[in-house]
Amino acid sequence: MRPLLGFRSIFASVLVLGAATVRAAQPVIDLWPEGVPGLKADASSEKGDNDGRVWNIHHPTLTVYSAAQPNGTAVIICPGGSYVRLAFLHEGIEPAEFLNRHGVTAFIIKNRLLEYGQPAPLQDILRAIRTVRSRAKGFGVNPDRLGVMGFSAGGHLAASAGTLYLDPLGMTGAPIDAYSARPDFMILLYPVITMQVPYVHAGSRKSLLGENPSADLISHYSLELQVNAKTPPTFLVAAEDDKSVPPKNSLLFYEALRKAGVSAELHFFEKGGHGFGLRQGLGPTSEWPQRAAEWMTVHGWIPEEKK
Amino acid sequence: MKVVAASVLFGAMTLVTIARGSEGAPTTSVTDQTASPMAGYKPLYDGEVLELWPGGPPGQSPQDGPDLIRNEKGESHLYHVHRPILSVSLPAPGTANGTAIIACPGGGYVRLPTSSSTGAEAKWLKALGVTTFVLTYRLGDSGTYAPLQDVTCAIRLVRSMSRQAGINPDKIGVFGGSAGGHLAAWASTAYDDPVAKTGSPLDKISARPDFAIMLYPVITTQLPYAHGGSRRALMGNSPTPEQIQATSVELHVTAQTPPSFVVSTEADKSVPQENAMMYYEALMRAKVPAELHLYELGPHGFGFRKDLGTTSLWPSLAEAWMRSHNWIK
Repeated sequence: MRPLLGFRSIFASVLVLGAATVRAAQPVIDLWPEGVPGLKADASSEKGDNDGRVWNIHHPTLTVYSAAQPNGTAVIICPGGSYVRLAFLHEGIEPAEFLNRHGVTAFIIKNRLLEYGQPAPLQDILRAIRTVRSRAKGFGVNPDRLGVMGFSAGGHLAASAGTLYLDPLGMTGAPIDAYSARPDFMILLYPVITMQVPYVHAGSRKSLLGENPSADLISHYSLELQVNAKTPPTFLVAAEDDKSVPPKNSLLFYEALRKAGVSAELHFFEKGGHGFGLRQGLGPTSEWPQRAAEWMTVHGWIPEEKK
Repeated sequence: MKVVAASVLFGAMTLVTIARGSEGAPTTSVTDQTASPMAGYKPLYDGEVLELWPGGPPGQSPQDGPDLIRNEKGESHLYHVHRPILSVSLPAPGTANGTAIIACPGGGYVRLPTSSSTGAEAKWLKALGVTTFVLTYRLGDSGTYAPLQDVTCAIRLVRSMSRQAGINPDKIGVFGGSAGGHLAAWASTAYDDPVAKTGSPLDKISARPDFAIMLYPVITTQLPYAHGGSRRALMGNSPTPEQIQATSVELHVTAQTPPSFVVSTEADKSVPQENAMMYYEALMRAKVPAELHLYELGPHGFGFRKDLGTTSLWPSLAEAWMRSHNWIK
């Protein structure tokens, strides 16, 4: 078997070199190659800043971050930003690199935001899941091990996928609609969950549902009301001192999952406020990625670490 | 169980105590009130047993009968506790870091596991350099407030002997599972309650724990989330509204409630998980630093079981939390 080992090590170094060079330009997938449903006539190009935040999204995409040693699991990452912008670096690229280190293929979504409001973000995430599943073989991922990870308003978007995956508004009549849009698991960081007072995050609601949403619309997007036994297993993290999105959002979702008999895990830490992402120096809070990796390992989405 | 007590010196008072180190070697020591503050201090030894109420527990005569040990389903339980004690578990020489924990076992305020069953937590804390005092407290059959009197007395006692025990009086935590978690939370919220003051000179010492670690705790005695057994054991079949108010610890959280670490599981069929959640919500409202970890697997009372997926990792999370507060290194 000596030649095979030799081949493997050469192959591995090529992959490592490849990863280093590919970083400069990650593959980007157009989510609506046939045309964005409801594209605005005045659609202009994406905007961004020096902190890796982007906004004014009209042409939703997935940016692919491949693992050097893929294990077949994939996660679509939804960055936060009140449905106004996307924290593409801190809540997109950084968690993608964490997932890559565990062999997970990551896809960061750029979804439509307040310029469209609902149902555009939901349409985009459901299309993203169908896209990855339909091309699973090409990405080297297992279509039954496709999760979503979301931060803040991106947590709302991810949790929307886990609860509203059958929503007819997520289908446009394209052949790809035949693929399931149900994520196999969810990892939600300080998520927005409810659109109901008193725990609603007002900014996210205004961006997604507008100024005076109907009671029906509020219920539809209050995801704690949309949980059932088919909602996928969920991992939740929030910080007690979050002044922006009440941690109660996470508790409401956990309670709904528990009542529906869905496997769930929740960690509330003391410090971190809102939007800490993968920031270090926050004591036990900064160890949440390790907690998430442990949870994924126990569920078989990442293999046991070789000792 | 041997009847053992320890020498306890508090300030310049005289306390008559009986200490029997090992079987057949009883000693009696009377500390002298005129002695210098350091005189009479004897270092604690591993396995030492401290009696909480050398003169008998409040409202009860020591003649009320012996504690009862019953073997049930292969486990040994203690009933009818009349001589509350603290069992000392010391870290290996040179490894103590000055933090102490008073461990409150659970048993629905009806029974307690005998010391053998509480070994796992003492072993864990020992390895962390924590000086551990396992509390054998009076149960519901001694009255609604007897367990609270015992845990607060235990905290005062440990704090009073911090020099002798080589511990920092500002680093005394409580740890408890199930009803023992209720007792830990009760101490965290009712440490200043008049019912916890018995006229003992120790009353002058603070009974506030510096931190609390609770596993699958009983928190409320209000319906619908009360743990029926604990509620009945503490207050009988017809508790008064005042009793329910006093024993529902979620109602008494303030900004002075100590930092807390709470764990519970979805699979707990005995104590509803809402108990842990409602306590955490109260802590959050009062801005008390606290962690809450809700897991899927693990029946009530899982303790240190290793086969429960991520649930079995809770001790490492508790360690990280204690480390972040400088209670362990």
